[in-house]
Amino acid sequence: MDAVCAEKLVHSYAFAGSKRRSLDGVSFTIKQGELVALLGHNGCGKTTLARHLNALLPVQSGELTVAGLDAKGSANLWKIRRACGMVFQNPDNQFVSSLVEEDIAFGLRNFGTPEKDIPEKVRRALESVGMGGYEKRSPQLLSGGQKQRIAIAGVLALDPDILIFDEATSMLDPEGRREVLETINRLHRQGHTILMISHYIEEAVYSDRVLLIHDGRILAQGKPREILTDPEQLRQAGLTPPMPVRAYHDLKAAGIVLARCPLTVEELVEELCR
Amino acid sequence: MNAVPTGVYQPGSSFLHRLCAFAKLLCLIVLLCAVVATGSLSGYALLLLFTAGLLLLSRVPLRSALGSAWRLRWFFLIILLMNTCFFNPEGAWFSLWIFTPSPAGLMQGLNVVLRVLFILVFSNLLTLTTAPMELTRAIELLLSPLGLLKIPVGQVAMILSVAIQFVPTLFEETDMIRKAQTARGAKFDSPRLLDKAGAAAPLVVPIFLAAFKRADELALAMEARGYRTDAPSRPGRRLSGTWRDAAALVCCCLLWAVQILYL
Amino acid sequence: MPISLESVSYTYAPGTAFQCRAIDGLSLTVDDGEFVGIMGSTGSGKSTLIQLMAGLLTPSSGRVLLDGEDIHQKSYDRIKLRRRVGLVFQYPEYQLFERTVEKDVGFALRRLGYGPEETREAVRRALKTVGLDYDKVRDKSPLGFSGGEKRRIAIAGVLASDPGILILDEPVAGLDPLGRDAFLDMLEGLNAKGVTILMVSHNADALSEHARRIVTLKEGRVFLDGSVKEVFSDIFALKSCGICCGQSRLAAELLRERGMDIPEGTVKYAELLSAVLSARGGEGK
Repeated sequence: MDAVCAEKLVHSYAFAGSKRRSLDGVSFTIKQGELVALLGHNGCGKTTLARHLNALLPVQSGELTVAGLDAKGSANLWKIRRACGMVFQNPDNQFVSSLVEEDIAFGLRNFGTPEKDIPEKVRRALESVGMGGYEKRSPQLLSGGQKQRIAIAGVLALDPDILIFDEATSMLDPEGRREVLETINRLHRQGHTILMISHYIEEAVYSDRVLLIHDGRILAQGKPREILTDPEQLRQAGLTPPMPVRAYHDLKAAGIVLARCPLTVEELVEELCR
Repeated sequence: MNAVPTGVYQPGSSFLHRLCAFAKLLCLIVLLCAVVATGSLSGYALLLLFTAGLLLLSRVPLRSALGSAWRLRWFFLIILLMNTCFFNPEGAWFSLWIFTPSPAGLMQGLNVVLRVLFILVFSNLLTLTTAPMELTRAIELLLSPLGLLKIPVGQVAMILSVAIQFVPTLFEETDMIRKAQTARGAKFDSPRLLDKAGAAAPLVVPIFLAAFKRADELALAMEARGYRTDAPSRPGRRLSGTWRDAAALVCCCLLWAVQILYL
Repeated sequence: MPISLESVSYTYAPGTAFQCRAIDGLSLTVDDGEFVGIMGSTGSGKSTLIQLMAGLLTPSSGRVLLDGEDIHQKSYDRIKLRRRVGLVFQYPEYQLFERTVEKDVGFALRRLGYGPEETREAVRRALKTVGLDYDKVRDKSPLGFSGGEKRRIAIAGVLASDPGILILDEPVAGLDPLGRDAFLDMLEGLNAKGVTILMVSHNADALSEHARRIVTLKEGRVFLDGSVKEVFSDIFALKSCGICCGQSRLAAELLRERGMDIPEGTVKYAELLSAVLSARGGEGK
């Protein structure tokens, strides 16, 4: 069974009298255990799409199944929110308590977890993001990367089927970004299904599949090696190719043809020294 | 900067930390009554003794318990001096120009300053030793009779608790916006009142917008994590009283009674 | 004329339990027309440094000189300082507040005593610099634009008074790649016209391509200071103050380790490309 299955999703915001389609017939699937990167420039509809997946926005038109639950109507609303956890962009705007353990317990209590199970679940969630022992700390006093990891733990505690990261690294410094990306990759290896939204193209290199979205439509989808190596298409989506891809094409134009198009600096060096 | 904002929960396992949040909230109310009922030096001495006991029991350092009061120390001193010098010309120690310092004035000044100080310290002790969500639950319980009037008590308590936590963030943000507008030539330090009024818009509009944006994002995050306003009652950590809570409450009531009856 | 700091220190909340020395005896001179990148890990004092330079914080000790004058002297004219130094905070789009774009961009000018005609011309020019059409946007509310456009409007508000020195705190954070490139090109254009640029950023790639001098901070002091080539040559020194170098620099280092003939000081993408071409040129043809 697919973790997410979307069929011709359409969504429009009514703004100042005019209607603008932020999603214009989006169809895709996410398989169990997949790490999918959703790439696009600001305002292309990626956040709108993500908010459909945990029922923060209602399905206006089209079909959407999340973790086997029909997202149309409000019958499965709370089941879907439990099945699909979301980490947001601004680390400062998602804490409800100035105590880490209480904040992580927030979701658990909302979904009626028995009180006696909560401490153990909180402990395990913190350990899985490498923040064991931070139960009694205040999120406000942690670094940006640590805050986001606490937010991830708050979502993980609910044992969701799908994790969504909505530009969760875009407000962090390089150190914080690295921490969060490592956490995402580790969770992926442990078998979690993950949708990662970003406009940092480098972050998509390690995903299983890339969805390229532009003006509310899916422009292309495929393996990172297919999508990220096509500079024309990336530019069409308002993005720029990773440096190694750019180098590959510039070298090719200058007469040096590498055996394959590299995605990372390490691969570029490997290809050049072959 | 990463300074600990005053009045934010500091985890611990002291006697005060382990008291049930609801009992502590009731104790605070009784203590506030006791403070208001105090009016004599021996009364304040007793309060001071009691506070010292609380500090020992909570292992909260005096500086944290005083919190923002320390920054207001000059303000308190001025209030004290003004009351002493101007309040009551009768029975003044001496009279110099417009100054007539009198014992009655001093007592009046002490009344104002000490009451505010004790109220601050007691409230700080509550927030310093009680985890925010437990406090929320306690407030919810305290307000629960209002539920009969169809007031959404659970939501009100949650709003209060979240709002309190955003205060330090909003202060930081205000400071940032103030600086940014200053760099654009806005004047916030001008002595002229007209300039001050004109300077309010560049500060107030962005602060409101930022606060709304934060509130919006937080609401979304809470909803995504399953917070629902239509749920009957969320099973939270149960607030169960023990002999300790009862004893604490009795002590506070005793203090109040003593202040009313004897001092 | 330069902006210069003479053994400046700054302590937050002095005399309290939270006392914290953010800048510690720092000296730095920036000449006219320079493009300086300021780097350092979070908490190294970058934000404090630029606020001291813009006269928003008063140093606990030491002097901040602008064109040879101490800006914290009582007699120093604040208006002169504001005209000369433009400061763009992180996420400047949050500073917008006026009802129309024209008013918001012109806000500083009115404060600095420009006439109406002069203001209109300056606003038109500033909007053009950030790539917006004055006639199209002047009467719209600045709050109705997209995030990237709002940021450009806010920056126009700083550029309007034509500051000779522009200080920016992490100006490309949150912009998407095309927006980021356009913004950096605009900065380069301003610099070419003689505007001194000081840009605080974590983005080593952007700074390697656009800045000419890099200053790195560590624990409130200048740790490394030199041309882009010099500072990025020492990857280990950079790592010790929590900074990663850009991708092109990293690739050059790895290629050299593998024995390819890449010259020292290869930092920019174009340099890397031509170095690779000349190294491979010999064997290829």
